[in-house]
Amino acid sequence: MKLSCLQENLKRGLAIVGHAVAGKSTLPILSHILLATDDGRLKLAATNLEIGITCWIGAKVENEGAVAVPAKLLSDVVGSLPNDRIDLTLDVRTQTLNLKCARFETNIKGADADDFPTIPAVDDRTPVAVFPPALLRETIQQVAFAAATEETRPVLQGVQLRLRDNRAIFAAADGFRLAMRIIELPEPVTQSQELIIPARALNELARILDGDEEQVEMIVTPSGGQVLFHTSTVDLVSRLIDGKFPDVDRVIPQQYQTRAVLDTQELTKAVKLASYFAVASSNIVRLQMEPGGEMGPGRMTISANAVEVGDNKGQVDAMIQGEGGQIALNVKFLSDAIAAIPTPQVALETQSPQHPAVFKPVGADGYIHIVMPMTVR
Amino acid sequence: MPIRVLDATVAAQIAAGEVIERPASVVRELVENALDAGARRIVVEARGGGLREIRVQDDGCGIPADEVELAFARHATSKLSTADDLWSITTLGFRGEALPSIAAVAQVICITRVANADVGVELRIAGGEVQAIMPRGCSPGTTISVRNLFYNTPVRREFLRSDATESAAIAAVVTQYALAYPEVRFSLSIDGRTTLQTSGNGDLRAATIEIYGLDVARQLLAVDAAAGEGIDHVHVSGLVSPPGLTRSSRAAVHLFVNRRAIQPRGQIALVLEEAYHTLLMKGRHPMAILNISVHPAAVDVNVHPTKSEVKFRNTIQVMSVLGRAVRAALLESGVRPWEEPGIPASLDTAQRRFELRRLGTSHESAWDTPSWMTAGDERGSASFHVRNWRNEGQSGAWQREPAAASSLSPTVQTSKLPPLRIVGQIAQSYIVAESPDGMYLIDQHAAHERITYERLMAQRGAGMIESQELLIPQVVDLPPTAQDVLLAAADRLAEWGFVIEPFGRSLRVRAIPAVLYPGDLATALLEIADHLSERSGTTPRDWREAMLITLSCHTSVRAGQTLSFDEMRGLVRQLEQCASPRTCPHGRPTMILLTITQIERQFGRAK
Repeated sequence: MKLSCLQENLKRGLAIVGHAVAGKSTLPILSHILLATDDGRLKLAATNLEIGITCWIGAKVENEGAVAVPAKLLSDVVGSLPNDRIDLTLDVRTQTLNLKCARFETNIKGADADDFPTIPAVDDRTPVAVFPPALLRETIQQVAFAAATEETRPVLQGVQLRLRDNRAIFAAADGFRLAMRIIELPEPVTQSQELIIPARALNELARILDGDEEQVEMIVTPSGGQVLFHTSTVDLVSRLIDGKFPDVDRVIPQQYQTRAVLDTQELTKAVKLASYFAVASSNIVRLQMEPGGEMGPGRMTISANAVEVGDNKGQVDAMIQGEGGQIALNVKFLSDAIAAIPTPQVALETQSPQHPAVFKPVGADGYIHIVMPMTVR
Repeated sequence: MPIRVLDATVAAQIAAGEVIERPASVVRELVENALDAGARRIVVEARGGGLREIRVQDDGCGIPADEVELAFARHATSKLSTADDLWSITTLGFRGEALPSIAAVAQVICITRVANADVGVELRIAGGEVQAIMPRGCSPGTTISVRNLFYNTPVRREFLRSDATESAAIAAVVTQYALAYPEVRFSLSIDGRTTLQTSGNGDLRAATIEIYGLDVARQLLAVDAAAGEGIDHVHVSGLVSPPGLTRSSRAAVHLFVNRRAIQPRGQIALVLEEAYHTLLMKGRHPMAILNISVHPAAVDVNVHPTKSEVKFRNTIQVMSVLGRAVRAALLESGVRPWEEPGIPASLDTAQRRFELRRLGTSHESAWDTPSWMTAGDERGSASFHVRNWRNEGQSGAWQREPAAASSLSPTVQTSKLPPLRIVGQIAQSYIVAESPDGMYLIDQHAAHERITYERLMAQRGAGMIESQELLIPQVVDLPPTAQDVLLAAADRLAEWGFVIEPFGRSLRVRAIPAVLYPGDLATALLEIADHLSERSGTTPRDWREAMLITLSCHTSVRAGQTLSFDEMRGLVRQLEQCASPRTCPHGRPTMILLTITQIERQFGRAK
């Protein structure tokens, strides 16, 4: 293998695939990145057996070849080299990769490329759906964090994606909250489908998408076991989660008793302040909504109280419809919910202290976030 | 007062009292009869804790119409004819006590038909008096329903526990037999709810799945060992849990001798647990389903009125086969017994003081603040300690106090910790820390448990336990006995933040305490049920203990979790604040001390 490429490009490519490198694994080859020439470009690939990322960068290939190189070392070395042309040469006998860049020369001992696990190839490249990258990234950021992290219920570690006509519905839930976003697709899908994609894979995808891409194609293997997200320079393959996602539509309240519209930034600050005290008492914050009278606007009081630490109370102006009321929420879920609202104003809809709290952006459709309340007995 | 012979009814009631203690004893006797009758299918139904009605239906051989009445006479049995037969008992019953005893204290309806008779017979009997006997159509086998148990012995009735407790006892009895006879289809319904159903395909593991769930059943290790010939033949078979799978009570130890359930206590239980020596934590018990087959003549089952204890002719041999069989199964599973090296006979004083303190008996001034500390702020942060140590220590080690100086020091800090400097973490489970006495190893899980326990205790004191509603109610599968115990206590669980309700044969959880991590829901609930069924009295105090211990255990840092330096320091600082930092709520130590003297001895620097 002999080729040359720009340090800048190689560095970017390594950063993209780097996240699929297994951190701690019993299989040493998984902490390597595969370098291979592919059709006049340099292919970089990494996998932790759950997800695999492949990235192509422009290169001038003189000799074909492939090698697996320790990921961290290679990234560190390339990151420290000057922004110049890098010449890569592989000594096949010793599997040593030689990098020459400006006045630096480095030799890195690699492993046989054949030892590198094959990233599942998807033959039929007909996309199931095509997403605009910016919209997809925003959606993932609004939804995926609500997926469960613990492994007891694998289905909840994923994001449910339902496709029908030109609508895609993303939903994620752990035991206590639900995030759901409905987006319009530029092209209607040919066939309605329901998939559960690991939230981790989507988070990686959102990180990779930098907005330069024209479109993101989603391809599902005929067996239904793998999903591939494809852009012009990057492929991300992930396994799909097998199972039945809970019927989350049922959880969404159809009505409300009180609706409070608040300034997102002000609320974020007040919640942040309360959180310092909430963490010391099971993360509980209380929200009290009072409708405005003739004298002034309505307001929401946010309070947290920890017996051993102290307490805090803050007020935010709010437009309140309905009779007001109160609800107690986990401060972590509350701040996550607010952070997922992109609009300057957020609406909070409640029924009673025992019913779920519903967060919606004001002036933008399609997103809903539900948090189950806490009750003090 | 003149001596008189008691009249028959009173005598019968007294005798019945020995055999029939509670509704579960009725179920036990009737199920045994059904099994002796060769039943392949046994249906048990209980209502009102077994007091309103117990119904046991089997498809066994039935009782011939002309013998039905006799069956209810005292000492009437088909299973034994001469005294010598007592030495070769192969049936579960033999004394002819069960039916008359039940009939003496309840209203009994017995419907039975032998396979070759055209029509069955129905016998109604109450308080020992036959009320009616008439022909009746029915399927082959026997159905006995026992109504209004203890209706004529109100005192006995008074002493019974709640319906739920009695139902749980009935479930326990049926569970026992379902495990002993995996080839018989058992089904149990309590107050119309089916709580247990085994397939009866003869596979013990399949029966275990029904009772303990797939997850547990899969882990159990098979035991099979035999020794001796003829009358000395002993065969031990069944399933035992691997060392990692334990329970906090012996409720999951099912022991059978010739498939007769016996109480898991005394020597036989001891031998079983001895086989797990050093593999079990204190206060934990293994799960076991073990049948010991011996020659009928080599065992005396006629020791205890309810036959729950037995005597072996050659106890030593039986016990050794049992112990070796279990040990062999454990070893095959790849678990190596851990031999403890001999503890040096003369522990040095700091070590002994440490141990004494753990027991909370010491009033010595062992933990006197070293003189260099008294100058500064005692309750300063860990970093302060470190700084202090840097200033005062001479060569990078804690300055050691001469023994005389410390005993002269006036301040007494009874169970507080000495200042600790964190060194690091090993095995992702233990924090290594240094103090003036030597090296401390702190079990991170146990330590955090203690912290959480005391925090919950304080919260509970303030009357605040927050509950987090679940988005989608979670369905949890638990053994029927555990479910019954939990459902019976649903109101009190709600005070602790658990909202549960029955959901078919499972439980549905709608809300959990805010402090509980949702992953361990099933384990946590099971542990609470275990605690509750183990403590026979459910006083509020027991409750509090059970809940607090379970919650603190399940919300704490686990072993195998890497902690950052700050986290470790935080943990130790919080531990310092605890009232009794030296043990976890389960009673295990949170820390062990290796004194400088001990270390020096190991290196051959001191004697």
